[in-house]
Amino acid sequence: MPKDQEILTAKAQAKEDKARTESRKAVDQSFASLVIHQYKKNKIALAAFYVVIFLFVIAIFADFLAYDKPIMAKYNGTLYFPIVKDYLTGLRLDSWTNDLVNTDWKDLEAQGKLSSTIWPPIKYWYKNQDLVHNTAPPGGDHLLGTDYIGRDVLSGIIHGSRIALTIGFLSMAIAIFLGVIFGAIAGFYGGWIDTSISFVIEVIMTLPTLFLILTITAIVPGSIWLVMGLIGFVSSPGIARFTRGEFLRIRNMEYVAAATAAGLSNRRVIFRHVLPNSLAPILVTAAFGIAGAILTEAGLSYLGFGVPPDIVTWGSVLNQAREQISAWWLAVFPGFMIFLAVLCYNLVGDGLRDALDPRLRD
Amino acid sequence: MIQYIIRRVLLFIPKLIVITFIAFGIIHLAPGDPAELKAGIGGEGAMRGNQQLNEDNIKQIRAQWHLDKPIWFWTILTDEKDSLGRLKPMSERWTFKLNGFDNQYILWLKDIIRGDFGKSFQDNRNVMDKIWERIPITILLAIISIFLSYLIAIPLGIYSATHQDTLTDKISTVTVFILYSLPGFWVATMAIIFFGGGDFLAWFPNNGLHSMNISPDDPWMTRTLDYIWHLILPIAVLTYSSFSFLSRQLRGSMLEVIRQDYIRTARAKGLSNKMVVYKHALRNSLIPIVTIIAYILPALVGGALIVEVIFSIPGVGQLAFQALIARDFPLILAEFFLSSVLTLVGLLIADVLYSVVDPRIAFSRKTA
Repeated sequence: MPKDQEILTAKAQAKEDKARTESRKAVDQSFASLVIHQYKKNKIALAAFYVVIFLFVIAIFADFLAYDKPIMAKYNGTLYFPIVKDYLTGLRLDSWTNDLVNTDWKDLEAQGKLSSTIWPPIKYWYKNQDLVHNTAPPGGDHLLGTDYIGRDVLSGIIHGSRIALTIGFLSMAIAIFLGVIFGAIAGFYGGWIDTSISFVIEVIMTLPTLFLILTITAIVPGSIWLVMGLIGFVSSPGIARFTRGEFLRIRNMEYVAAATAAGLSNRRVIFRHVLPNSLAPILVTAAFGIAGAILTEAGLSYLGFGVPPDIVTWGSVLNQAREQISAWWLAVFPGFMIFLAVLCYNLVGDGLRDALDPRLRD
Repeated sequence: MIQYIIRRVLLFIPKLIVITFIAFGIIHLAPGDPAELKAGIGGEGAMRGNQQLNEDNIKQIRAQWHLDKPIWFWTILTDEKDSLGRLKPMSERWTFKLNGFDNQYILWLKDIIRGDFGKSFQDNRNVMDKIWERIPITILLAIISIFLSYLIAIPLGIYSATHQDTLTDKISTVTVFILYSLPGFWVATMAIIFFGGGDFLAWFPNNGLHSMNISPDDPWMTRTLDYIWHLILPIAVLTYSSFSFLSRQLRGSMLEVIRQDYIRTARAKGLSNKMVVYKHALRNSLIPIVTIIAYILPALVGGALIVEVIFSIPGVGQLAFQALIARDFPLILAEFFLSSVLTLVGLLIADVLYSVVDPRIAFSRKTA
């Protein structure tokens, strides 16, 4: 027997073994890691995901990016962390001494009373009115200009991201909560329960969404919570219908029958066996839903409804551009932020859908 | 098929009734007495002129709107606020009173069935008259933009799908995705600022439908051109969003269809590429596109709201916006009700069209 042959077979054997372990590894991979792996291949979707994270970081650290007090400053020999102190004061854990309660820290600095100060990159809070520089174009003190009462546009955009993301996320959370519960009940139990829930879903779906929210916010005094609840409510039927379909499909699978046969309660079957398997597609709907919610909220503020006027949102800054058509900076920057957020959530939704699609897997 | 349509129409009625509940409920969300609001002394209590006159006025309004009748079929009274009431056991605190059919809801419903939505708070004109005179311009905008978006979307969708993964396809897919995510109100504002006479270009007018210096005596050509000149920006804004949506849908469904066995069969029997694409693939991929009809009808009332407001086009959407600002409840209610009904009708038409273009859909077994 020639030795070469042996070596060749041994090599082939090794190759086969390796392939087998690899394929076993692929089988062993959890569904989530498979989806993440698949998602990462899509470079645009991955970039969009990073932008989403970036927006989150901006929203969380908004006060450290744009505020009218320094992050750190030494005054009269004491070291202060005014922004942190403001947070603690808000939580009633700390309070300002009388001499500092209404101080303008910029004045103190101008008088040379502060040392070792660290200011946030933007020295304006979104509510600060700079009456000298109202309707100022970008450049100079205000990087992206100011509005008609001298509020800094960049600061407004940074703080506005909080409203946009809060409304986007919480309204989708409300929609998913309502939608999954009613969709699951309808799909799992069927019969008259399904018929009646489906009827309600169809009725809500025929309501003109934007007009309904506009009407209610025009009648009832607006607040972020109201807008959030309304957007969540009108987006819930879509998710409910989707969940119902998934449940109808999964309900008839063998493993559900097995779980029921094993004597598990309905609640356990729903939450432990059916729901986890229908959750992934719901996530896709949620990603698109967040984009939709951000867009709806911006549209409402743009029209001057919804969020109260003293709160700055992307939409409300854009709204001012309607009256002042030469103030282009009031339209370009906030509008771009709305566009960026909507685009990225749409891209994430798209990427997630492709990553979950088994037909696109290799 | 006919049976299916009849069943859909029958289901239409309970949905309509539920919508009347919602519309009626929304109106009663409003704080304060509508009659006082109308007489101008509600809210902050402004304009307290002649008390006697106001009271007569209010009484008259109350009778006109049936506000002197109970609101609903029944009333549930509680004794909670009464100090004696609080001593009673829970079950005795509630009093249930049946009001019968002589209530505000039924009277309001009767008016609506007669097509009477009441009079506008703003100018005391009939609400339906106000809406009717605004409808033609909204319909015109909708028809033009829908026609244009189909005109662009269909060839683009076909090209993208048949040339999948080429550079042109990639560019057009990305462009369409970006367009799809662009907020319409931002694009409209930017269009006004950069092309409508801000500090930049003044190529297009930024509001209304006619120039100030155009009179009805001007020649027909001049007036039409002026009209078109005013409509270019609003129609562009309305069109780009619907065309990006349409062409995304078409590309997706076309890609699905092209993978089917019958397309391979068509190719295998030697049909030209053109025949395969237009005769076999396109027809089947148009099916989901047809249902978009469902969105067209409600768009006539509500969809163009933002664009009409931004470009000051006197359509139904702008009317609705003015009504919201002025809290003109009869007008708001009428617009809300009409757009809900139109959505219902649109969904019905879409379902029926679906079964016409796709005979595979068996409606007899489907519970609507």
